[in-house]
Amino acid sequence: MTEVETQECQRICQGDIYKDVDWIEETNESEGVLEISKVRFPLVVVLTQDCDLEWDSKFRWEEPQKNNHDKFLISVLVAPIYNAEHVFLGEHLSELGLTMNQIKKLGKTAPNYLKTNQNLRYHYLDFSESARIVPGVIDFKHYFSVNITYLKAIKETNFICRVEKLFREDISQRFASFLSRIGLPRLEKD
Amino acid sequence: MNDDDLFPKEYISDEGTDYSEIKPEDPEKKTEEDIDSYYRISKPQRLLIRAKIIHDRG
Repeated sequence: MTEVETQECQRICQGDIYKDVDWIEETNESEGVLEISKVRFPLVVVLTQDCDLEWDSKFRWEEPQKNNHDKFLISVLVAPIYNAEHVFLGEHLSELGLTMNQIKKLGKTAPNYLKTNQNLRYHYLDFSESARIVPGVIDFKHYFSVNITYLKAIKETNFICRVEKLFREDISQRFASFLSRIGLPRLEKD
Repeated sequence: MNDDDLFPKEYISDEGTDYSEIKPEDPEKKTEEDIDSYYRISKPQRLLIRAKIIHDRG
């Protein structure tokens, strides 16, 4: 079970969950016509370190304005939360024309490994009653960055909840572990 | 004019249903089922925007 707070933080905080966050996939300009392809993620969780977000907020938004921009962030790291049901079926990105692995086809124990957070790539979220959200799965491999002023602009309307301290630290630690894993080569036996 | 003026009291539908049974519900009034409903996480969608550049400051 993952506990959440529904009370909104004044600033963008680690563990915040936002709905309908856009990610610019591609832009093209040809003969004065601009084409933008973007993907709208129904739910994302903020992964950026909370102290970085706090300092950015102090330097960026608090009055009086400071002449020093040293603590400004360029972007906020987030990861999508997919519907767990769709993930188990490998259908969560079907609207983008992508076919993903069916978890149960990865082995008999694979679904349980995912649900108990033993698969490094995923973080299963069985939200507490107060969240009123169906079970979700964070895919750490799909992390992306969001412009901080864009996120601030949609904060009021798109904030859903914030993962409670202990649980967001678990997410943060597991994300760091995923990113810092060492890819070893597969060596052939002589 | 109030909503009742649009639906006269004596109104009976073709099927013989009483007015009171077919009066539309107040859209602001949520049922218990709505309140209890969970946030369903839909699938990510791709959105395409095409725009003509009419001013280039560069």
